[in-house]
Amino acid sequence: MNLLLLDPFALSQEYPENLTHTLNYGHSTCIKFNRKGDYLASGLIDGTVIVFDFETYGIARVLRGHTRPVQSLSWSRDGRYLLSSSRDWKCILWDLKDGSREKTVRFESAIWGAELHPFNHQIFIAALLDDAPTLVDFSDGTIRKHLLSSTPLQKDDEDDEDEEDADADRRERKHDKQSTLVATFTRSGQYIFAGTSKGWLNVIDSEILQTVRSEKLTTSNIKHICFSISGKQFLVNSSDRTIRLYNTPDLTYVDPVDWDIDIVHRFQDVVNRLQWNSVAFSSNGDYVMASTYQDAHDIYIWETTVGSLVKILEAPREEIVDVQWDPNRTLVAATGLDNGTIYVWATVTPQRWSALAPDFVEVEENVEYEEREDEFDIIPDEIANKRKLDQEDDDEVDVVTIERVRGEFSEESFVIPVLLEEDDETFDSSDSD
Amino acid sequence: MDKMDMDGSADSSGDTTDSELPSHPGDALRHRYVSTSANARAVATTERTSLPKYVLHFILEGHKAGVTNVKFSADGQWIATSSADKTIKIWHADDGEYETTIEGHGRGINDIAWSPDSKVLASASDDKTVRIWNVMSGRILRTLRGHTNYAYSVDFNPKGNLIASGSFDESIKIWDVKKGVCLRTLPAHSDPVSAVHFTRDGTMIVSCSHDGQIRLWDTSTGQCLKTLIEDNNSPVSCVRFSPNGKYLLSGALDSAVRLWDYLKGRCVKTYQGHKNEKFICVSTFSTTRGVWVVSGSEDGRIFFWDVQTKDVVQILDGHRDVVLAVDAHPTENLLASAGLDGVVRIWMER
Repeated sequence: MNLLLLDPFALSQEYPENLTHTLNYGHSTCIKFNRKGDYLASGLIDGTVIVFDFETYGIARVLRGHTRPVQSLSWSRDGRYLLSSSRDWKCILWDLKDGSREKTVRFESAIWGAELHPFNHQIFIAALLDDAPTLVDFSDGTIRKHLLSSTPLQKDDEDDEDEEDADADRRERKHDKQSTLVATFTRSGQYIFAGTSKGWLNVIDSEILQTVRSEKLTTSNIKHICFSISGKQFLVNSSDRTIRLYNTPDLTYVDPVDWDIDIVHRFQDVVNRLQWNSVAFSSNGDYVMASTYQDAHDIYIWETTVGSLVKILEAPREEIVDVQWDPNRTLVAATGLDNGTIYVWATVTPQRWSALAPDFVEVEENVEYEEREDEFDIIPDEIANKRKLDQEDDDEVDVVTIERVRGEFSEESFVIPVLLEEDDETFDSSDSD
Repeated sequence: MDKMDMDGSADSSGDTTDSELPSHPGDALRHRYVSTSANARAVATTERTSLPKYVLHFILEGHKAGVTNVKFSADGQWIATSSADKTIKIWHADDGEYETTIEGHGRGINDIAWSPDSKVLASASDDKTVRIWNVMSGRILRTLRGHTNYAYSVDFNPKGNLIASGSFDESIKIWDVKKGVCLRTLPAHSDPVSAVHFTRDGTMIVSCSHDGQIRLWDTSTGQCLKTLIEDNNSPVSCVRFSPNGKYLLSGALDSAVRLWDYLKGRCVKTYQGHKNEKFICVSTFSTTRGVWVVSGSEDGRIFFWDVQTKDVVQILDGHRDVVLAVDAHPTENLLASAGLDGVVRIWMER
C-alpha cells in the first residue's frame, strides 16, 4: 500500500547496490524465498532448516529432521509448506503452521534436488544420483513414486533430412548413459523440464509422465534450470562455463514437437573463464545473476534485453554458493561457502526531506511562482471554514472497498504464527547492519 | 471486586434513548430532502443504509479508575480494557462475562492492542514500557524497554511480528515481537506521539502528535512518506487507517474528527458536533451494517456520523464522564465504549 507514496527514483532502482545485512545462524548451504518474499528458508550443513522473517531478519521457525546437509528447498504456492531435500536421502515436507513434518519421503539414492508442483504441495519432482528422476505424489495419502526417463526422446523417422546425422545422434543416445541432474516444473505445472549430465533438455509431461520433447543444449552437465517468475524465459547453467537464456515456447497451444526453443543470450566471463555456481532471475525477469566459482567472490548481474553486464556484487570474504532474488523487492540474498553466512544486498533509499512538511516539494530546477488571484485576500475564518466544509460535500468517499494497486503483491500468503512461549533459539542471534 | 455487574438493565433503561439529539436523525433526513435538492445523491446514500439504532447491551464494571481504551479481539471473541488502575481486564464479547485481570505494569496503561491471532495483547504504559502478554495465562511474554517517557500508544502489524509504539518522548519505536528488541527508532514528531496504526498490509504506519501533524512512515525503511497538517494546527489525539487503507480518520482537540485522503494530502470530510478539547477520545469506523464514524465525546455521549453526508445519525447517552474510547466489533453489530467513569458499556443494534 506504500507504493504510491514511495519515491519513484528509489523504486526505479532495479538491482541492489549495497550489502545491508549479514545473517549468521549456522552454516547455510542453500536458501529460498517464498513467493511473497517475506520469508527466506535456509538449509544448514547439519540438516537443520531455518526460516527467516525478512521483515525483522529474525528466525520464524527452526525445523529439525534431517541428519545431513540440506541439498535443496522448495516453497508451496501459498507459503505454508516447505519441501527440503538432504544428503541423508530424505525429502521432508514441513507444515510451517506448527513446524511439524507433513510427510517424509525416503529414496534409495542421494538427492540432487527436489521441487514442489507449483499448484499442488502433495506432488514433487526429485532428481536423484544414479537413479531416474522421480515424481512423487501423495495426494491420496499413500506415497506413489513414478520413475521418469533420463533418456532423450528418439526423433520421429520422418525427420530424417540428414540421415547420417540422425543416425549418429541415435547411436550417441544409445551408448551414452546419462542421468538427470535437475528437474523443475513449468509455471503451470503441466511439464517438467529436466537437464541431463550430457547436456540434454528433456521435457516431460507431468500428467502422462512421458518425455514429449528432447533438445540438446550443450555438451556438458546441465547444473541448473530456472524459470523467471512470469515463466516466459528460462536459464540453463551448465558446466561449460556458459549460462544460456531461452524463451519459453508456447506450452499450452503448440504441440511439443513444434516448440521453438530459442536461445536469447549466452552469458559467460570471457576473460577469467569462470564457472557459475548458481543462477537466478530478478523479480521482474529483466536481470539475470550468477555467483562465481572459486576465487572471485562475486555475483554478476546481467540485463536480459541486450545481455550486458550491469553490476558485480562483491561478497566480503568467501565464495558465494547459492543466490536468490527476492520475488517482490530489489533485494538479493546469497550464501557463503566457507562459513555459511547469508549476505543480503538491498537498495538504500535516502531520506526525502520534503515528506516531512506538507507544503514542500522537491524540484529539479527553479520554478517561477505564480501568485493565485485570491492568495492574500482576507477571508473571515467562519466563511473560510464554511466554504471548506461545503466543498467536502462533493467528495465521494469509500472507506471499505479494497482496491488493488498495480505492482502490489495481492495474493493470500501464509503468515507463520509468531511463537513467543517456546524456548529461545540456541543460535547466536546477533546480526550486523 | 472484579466481578462485573451484569444487572445493568435498571439504570440503563433511561439513558439509552437517543432523545437528546439536537436534531433527530429523521428530521435531519427530511430537512435535507427539502433544502438541498442538489445533494440528492447524498440523501440517497443515507436512505439506502438505514440509520444505526444502537441500545445498551451490557455494562462491564470492575476497573477502579478511568478506562483508557477498549478493544475487541480480531476473532471477535474477547474484549480487552486498559485502565489507569494499572490493570487490563478481559471480558467475553458475547455475554459480557468477566474473564481475567492482567497485572504487572507499574503505572497506568494508556493503550492496548490485540495480536492478529487474538492470543496475545500488547500494552503501553506510563511506566515507559510496552509489554506483551499471554491473554489466557496473564503471563508476561516480553517487556519492551527503550522509551524515555510515557508509552502512549501501541499497535501490532497484521502479521503479528512487529509492534509499533508511540511515546511521550516524541519518538516511534518499531519492535521485533519475537526477540523483544527495538528494530528502529523514528524521531517522529516534536511533541508527544498520541497514536500509531498499521495499514491493512503492514507496509505503512501512521502516527499523530500534539504538534498537530499526522505522518505516514514506511515500515521497512523507517522513512517518512508524507505529512498532513490541518490549518488551525490543533493537537491531533488519534489517527487510524480506514478499513480499506485508502483514508485516515483523525481526531483533533478542536472538536473535529476528520477523514483524510492521504494520497492527495487533503481533508475530505469533517465530522462535528461532539466536544473534544482536552482528552484523547479515540474515534473509529463501524462497518458491520452501514458505514459510520463513531467517536466519544467529553460530555459523556457517543456520536455516530454518516461517513458520506457527515450528518449525526445517532447519539448514545449513558457515560457519566468523558468517553475516551470506542471500538466496533469486527463482524457483529456491537460497539464498546469506555471512559473516565471507569465503566465499559457494550451497545448492540436493536
